[in-house]
Amino acid sequence: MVANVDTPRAVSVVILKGGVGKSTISMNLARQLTERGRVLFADLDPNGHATNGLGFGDVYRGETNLGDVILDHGNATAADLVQETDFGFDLLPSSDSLEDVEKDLAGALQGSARVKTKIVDPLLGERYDYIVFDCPAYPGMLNNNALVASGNVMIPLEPGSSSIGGYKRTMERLITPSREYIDIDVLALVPNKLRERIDQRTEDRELLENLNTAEATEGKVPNFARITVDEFEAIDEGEIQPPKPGIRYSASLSKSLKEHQPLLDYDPENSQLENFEELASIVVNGGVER
Amino acid sequence: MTDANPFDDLGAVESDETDQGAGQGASESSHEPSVKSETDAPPEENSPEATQARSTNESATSSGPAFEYSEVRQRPLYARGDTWGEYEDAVGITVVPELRRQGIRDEEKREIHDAVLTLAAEEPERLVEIIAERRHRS
Repeated sequence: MVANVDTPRAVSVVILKGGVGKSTISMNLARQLTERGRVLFADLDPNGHATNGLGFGDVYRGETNLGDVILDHGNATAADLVQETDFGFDLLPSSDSLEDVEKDLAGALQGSARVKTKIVDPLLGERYDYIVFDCPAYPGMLNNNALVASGNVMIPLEPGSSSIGGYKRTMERLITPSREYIDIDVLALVPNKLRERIDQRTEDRELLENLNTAEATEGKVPNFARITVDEFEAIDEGEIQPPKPGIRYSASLSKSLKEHQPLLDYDPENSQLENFEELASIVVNGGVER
Repeated sequence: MTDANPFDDLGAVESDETDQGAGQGASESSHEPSVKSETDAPPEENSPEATQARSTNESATSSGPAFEYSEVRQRPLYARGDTWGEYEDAVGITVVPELRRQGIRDEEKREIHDAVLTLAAEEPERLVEIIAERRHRS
C-alpha cells in the first residue's frame, strides 16, 4: 500500500491548550498516513495520552526515555526507544519522566534542536516518510523541539472562546518567535469536536465563520470545514441544507482510544475517517488544496 | 510579545557552527540569527554582557528548583477558565521572561504554583477584597 513519496515531511499537531484533541488528531493522522508511506508517530506530551492510549503503558513507565537519546549524557539510540505498533506506524513513546527531560533540555546547548538533529534528521527520508508529533499543551522545550524538528504545524481548534485564546497563545509564544530562526508552515487549522447547528448563532458557527472569513486563516481551513461567505448567506436564507462541517464530536473517537486503537481500525465505517484522510493529504501536499 | 525569545538557543550555537550543513532548515536558520541578534538579543561573541548572562544562566541551571518532588503536596485548585487563562498569560508573558533575565532557566510548574500560594498567603486581605468584589458584581 506504500505509494511513492515525493517529499518526506514532519508535522507537529500543536495548540497551547489542553483537551482540544491533539492526541486523537495526531494519532489518527499518523494512522491515515501509513496508507501513503512509512510513519513514525512521536508522542512528546509528558501526559502520554497517546502512548497509553495505544497500549504502551509499560513503556511509558519504562527506564529508557527520550532524554537517553537526545541529551548529552544519553547512551541510547532512537532504535532503543521506538516501538512497533499493530497499526502500520512506529511509536516514539512518551514517558512519565519527560518533564525532567524538558528541564535538562533547557540547560542544554541548542536544546531546541535536539529532536531535529538526533531523531528527525537521521530518520526522516531514510527510515520514515512521515513523522507526526503530538505536542504538550504548554510552552516549553519539548514544544520548541517539535517545532524545530518538523517545521510544519497543524493546529486543532474547538468551539468556544478559550480555544481561540489557545490559538492566539500558540501563535504568539511558539510560532511567531520560532520564525525568527526557522521556517514554520501552518499547514491547517482543524476545527474539532463540533456538534451544534451552524444555521443558528452557536459557538460552532462562530468558530467556522471566524476561520472561514478571515483572510489570514481561510486558506488554512480543510475542505471538510470550508464554508464560503456565499454559502453562509445561503444557509441563513434557508436556500441550502446546513452542512455538518469539521471533525464531529464522536463517541467512537474516544472509545477507540480506550480500546487502544486508531479510529480506522476500531470503526472502519466511521464517517469521520474521510476528514482524517484529508488531513493526511494536507500533510502530503504541504497545505490545503481546494 | 516579550523580548525573551524561547528559541534563542538556536541562534547561540548556529552562529558558531556554520559548517553543520544538516538539513535545509539548519542552513536557512544559520543566516537569520546574525541579522536578528543585533536588534533582539545581545551578540553572542565580543559582548561582556552576553558571556556574563550565560555564566549566570549556568549557575542558575545547576542550582535547580527550590524544592524537589518529595517536598511537594499535590492539591486540586478550582478556578474559572478565564482566570486560569489570565494566570497562564501572566506567567508566560511576565514571570518566565523576567526569570530568564535573572538567569533562572529551569523554573517548574510546581515552583510557580508554590509561589502563587505564598503570594496569596502573604496578602489575605487582598483575597477577601477580590472575593467580596465578585460576590457584589454577580
